[in-house]
Amino acid sequence: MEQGVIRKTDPKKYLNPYLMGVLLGFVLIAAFYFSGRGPGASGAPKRVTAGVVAVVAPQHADHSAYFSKYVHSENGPWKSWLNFEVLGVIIGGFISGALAGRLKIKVEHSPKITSRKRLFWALIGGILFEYGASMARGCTSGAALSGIAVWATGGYVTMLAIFGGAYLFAYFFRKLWI
Amino acid sequence: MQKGIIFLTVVALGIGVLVWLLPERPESNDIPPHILLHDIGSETRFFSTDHIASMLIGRDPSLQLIDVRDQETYNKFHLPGAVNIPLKDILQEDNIDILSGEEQQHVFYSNGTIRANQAWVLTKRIGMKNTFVMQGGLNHWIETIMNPPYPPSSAPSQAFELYDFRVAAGSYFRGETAAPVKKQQTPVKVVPRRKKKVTASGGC
Amino acid sequence: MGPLVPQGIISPEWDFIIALVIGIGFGFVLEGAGFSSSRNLVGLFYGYDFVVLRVFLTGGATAAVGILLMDYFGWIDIGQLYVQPTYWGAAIVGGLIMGLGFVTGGFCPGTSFAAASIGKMDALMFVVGTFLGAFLFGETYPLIQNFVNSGNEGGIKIYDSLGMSRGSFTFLLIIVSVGLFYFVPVIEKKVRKPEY
Repeated sequence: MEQGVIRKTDPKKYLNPYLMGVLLGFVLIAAFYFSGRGPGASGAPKRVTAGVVAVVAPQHADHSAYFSKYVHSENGPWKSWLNFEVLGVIIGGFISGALAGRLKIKVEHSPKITSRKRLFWALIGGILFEYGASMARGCTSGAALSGIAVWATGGYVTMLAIFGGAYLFAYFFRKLWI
Repeated sequence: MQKGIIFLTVVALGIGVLVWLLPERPESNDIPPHILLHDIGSETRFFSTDHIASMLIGRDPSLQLIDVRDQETYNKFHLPGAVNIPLKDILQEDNIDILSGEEQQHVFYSNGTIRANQAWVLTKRIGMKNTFVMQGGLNHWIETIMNPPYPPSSAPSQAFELYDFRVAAGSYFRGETAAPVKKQQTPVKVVPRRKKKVTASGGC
Repeated sequence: MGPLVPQGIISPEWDFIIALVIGIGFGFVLEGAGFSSSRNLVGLFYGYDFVVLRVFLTGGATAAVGILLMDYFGWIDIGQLYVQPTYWGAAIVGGLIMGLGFVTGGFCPGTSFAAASIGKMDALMFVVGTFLGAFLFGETYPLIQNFVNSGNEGGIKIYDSLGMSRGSFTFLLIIVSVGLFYFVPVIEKKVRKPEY
């Protein structure tokens, strides 16, 4: 019955989710085995933003209680594990997309909304997601996924809050998707 | 197809039962012995008295001196800006908070070097990164900064520069510590720093 | 014994290369599983596609089992791994905000990078949003600082919080995951996946 569902989703396109899940598990294990930490994502925009603020307005970055932590961290805001890791995510995504023939510039949106509307809400979503991730010290990758792997209570709480929140608000934004 | 799914389910549950039954290894936050040994052998933990003196004069905010002698001797005399954490209290929760701050260099000192070294080993064992020891302790401080020996005339010019620096530093600290009673009254600023550190390393 | 870089077995300079390679693996999995399409991701919240749940739980459970086994064989020191500190209030409120971001933006930060790399402009817009979000957080940090940093319980573990043993919790994680894998197709069959 599982296979039927996958076929319905996309015939040849995507790989088996359970296989991908096991591979994802190996990626997590490798991250912990080599670097002692799990992969993340939201930490990179955070550091890059701190770095840009430090370049554009050094005074302001120094006075900001939040940005100064990253600007004056040991290796500075640029040379960070997460930045390199996210660079890898972009490369890895590109490789997978190229192999599967999915490289195409487009705005994916429901036919019921305009692409401009989709882009607007994507921007809002990005702002909200990063804001929440900065507050909770991690997003679905760094907090939830990596947290599950090392049994972090914070990771489980964050995961339940993210998905719980999404189900809570899903009804109000259903027009964007279905 | 059905068979494959049932097989995978059985494998998953089998692994589940296995991990359920596996004995747990006790978790330890101690750093491994070979690294501790290596660190004890290396000289990088030492701050020279001259270096400390110049940091104090420059009011370097990254320096946090920790006096590991008992309260009474601390009250009689201590270096400017030093916080008193007696050796026996080093591993108390609040003190660990202070010592694990990563933005400051925590330098232990005692009268000699032994107690400061002990404090350093205790903190190193639980994985603290920014703890150091003032070389020679207060005795050496007195010998070098407060009463520096005049270098012999055959000494290289650096020795004289160092001597001049020490004399200047000595007079600076005599001025600073002239009224030790007054110094004691200023409450020692104790800011828990562990929380800050955790925020900085924030997850994702 | 792992972790190799924090233990000093591999020199720290390699850490960035390792990060890059791990990122490539991570990005490959995200894209390959279909997380580069917001339609697949939000399917989780409207009931037409549970691919996120499948990959996410399989990945989490595999990693937990793997780390547990490596600990048993003495290959990794669990005490040296970075464990997310638990700040209850910040985790819950931050999580809810992220949930709102998820249903409006259709991505999470990791998947948006993977999706932007194959040319999804909506994902690129999401990425732009993350930078603005980070800036906004930095600017409003003084206002919410007290809340964000309150109630720190440190790197506590879920099995301790629930009063279970590590093994039995991991077993429960697997049981719940397998149960959900059997359950979600029932919903998927009832809800039609929008085609676009």
